Amino acid sequence: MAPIPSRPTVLVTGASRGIGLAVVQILLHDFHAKVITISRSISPELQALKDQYKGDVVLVQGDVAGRTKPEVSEEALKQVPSPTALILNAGMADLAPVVQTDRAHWLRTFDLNVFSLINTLVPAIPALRANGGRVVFVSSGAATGNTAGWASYNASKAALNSLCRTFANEEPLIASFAVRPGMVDTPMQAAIRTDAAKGLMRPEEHQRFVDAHREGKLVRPEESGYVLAALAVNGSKELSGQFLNWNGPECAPYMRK
Amino acid sequence: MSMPQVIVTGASKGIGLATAEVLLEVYGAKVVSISRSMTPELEALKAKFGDKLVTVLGDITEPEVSLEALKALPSPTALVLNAAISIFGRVDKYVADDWRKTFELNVFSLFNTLVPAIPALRENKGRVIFVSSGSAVGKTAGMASYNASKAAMNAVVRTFANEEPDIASFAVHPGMVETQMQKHFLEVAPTYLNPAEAEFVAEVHASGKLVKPEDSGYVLASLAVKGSPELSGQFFFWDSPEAVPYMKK
Repeated sequence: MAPIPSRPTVLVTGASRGIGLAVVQILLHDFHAKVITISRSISPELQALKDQYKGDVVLVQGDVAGRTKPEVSEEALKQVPSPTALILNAGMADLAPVVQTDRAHWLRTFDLNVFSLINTLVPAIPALRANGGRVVFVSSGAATGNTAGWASYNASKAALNSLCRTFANEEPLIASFAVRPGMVDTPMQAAIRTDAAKGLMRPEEHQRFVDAHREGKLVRPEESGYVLAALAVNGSKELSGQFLNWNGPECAPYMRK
Repeated sequence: MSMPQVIVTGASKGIGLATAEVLLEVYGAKVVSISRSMTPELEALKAKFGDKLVTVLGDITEPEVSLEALKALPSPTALVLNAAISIFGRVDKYVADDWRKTFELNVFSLFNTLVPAIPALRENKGRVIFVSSGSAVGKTAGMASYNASKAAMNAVVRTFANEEPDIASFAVHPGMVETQMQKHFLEVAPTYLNPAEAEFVAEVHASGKLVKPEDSGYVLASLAVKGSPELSGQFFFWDSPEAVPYMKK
């Protein structure tokens, strides 16, 4: 078995934009980590990080979604075999009231938000055990919420939290955290403020998202991204299995000073 | 009270069968059961209740099966979504097919029955009983896929209740009930669960603390017939304070 890496070596999914991109940037700049990313596309911003940090970044292009698809993650791990942490961030929010859903809707969301977790997690387990590693599952308040029009997203995040709990229970050598990153100013958040999304939600619930943005209350990706990165690098075993709020008391030690 | 008209999935044995039985015996309901197979118990109920019980045979993961049930019962006043599977395995020994099967049955098939029934349930101010589990909020080793599927179910219930004010939806942990599923659980627990967890399961079985299907079924049936809209969206145990009014006297 390879020796424990001297620098954090972190695999990040959904890294091309939003929270994932911010996390990659912070890992490289603030934590001197080596980063391997998996994303369906290589955004200009992600490429720029590769150009800047060169050998410290490995970009893998591929889709981690799907009920039977560990190949992309296995490919990533071939290139960087001994990660010290995973940040499982790839996810989608596809809105529809239950009455309007069909099977394809549920499969799409679960393939990405739930099954990709397993696809990425399982091949990395031996290395994570050997390295006393960490897994950060990027969750959401939706995991315990009930926002109308969000059934598949809510259910997928509830499933994510559950997987984190069970995995932490099964794997005492790996510290696992499900983290609510807050209402973050990202393209996913912007999509909620559209008229299309409004038509799928309850007006007063939709208004909350619009108001938060208008009042400047959205979290910057680099703020909660810092907590995700810090947990991946230094997260305490004592928090393993828990659902954490990015700016809650347990996460205070992991916020940017 | 007009005659309850209830579709029950996974009704050939265990909790589903017991719930159907109470609906027929105690509440004079018309029941359409969906199950993959016929059992002697279902046959006996058919013999006793005649056309008050329609048995639809088929795989709940196939949409046509639920549509057939709705043809037999076009205006349900309640659904009892009970069909489920528990496949054991540790995450590090992940079997893709097991996770796929678990989510197909425990999560995606819910909507095969639920979605087409929504117009009638709205009109009837109906109820939907989602048979959940303590696993929804648990972390038992060896049960990652089952735990996650039940957590997903509870989130669906919360959201669906918010979306559908005319339908009362409940996620209910039916208890550790004396069924074949439970018997299987006892057998595999030492292989998949952590030692302390397996010990707990064995202890419940050995001390006679398993819940009788008819007791749990009574609560589920009563909720299906008269569950209070005030509880809509909630997750509770079959013997919790919320459920006490629905227990057998």
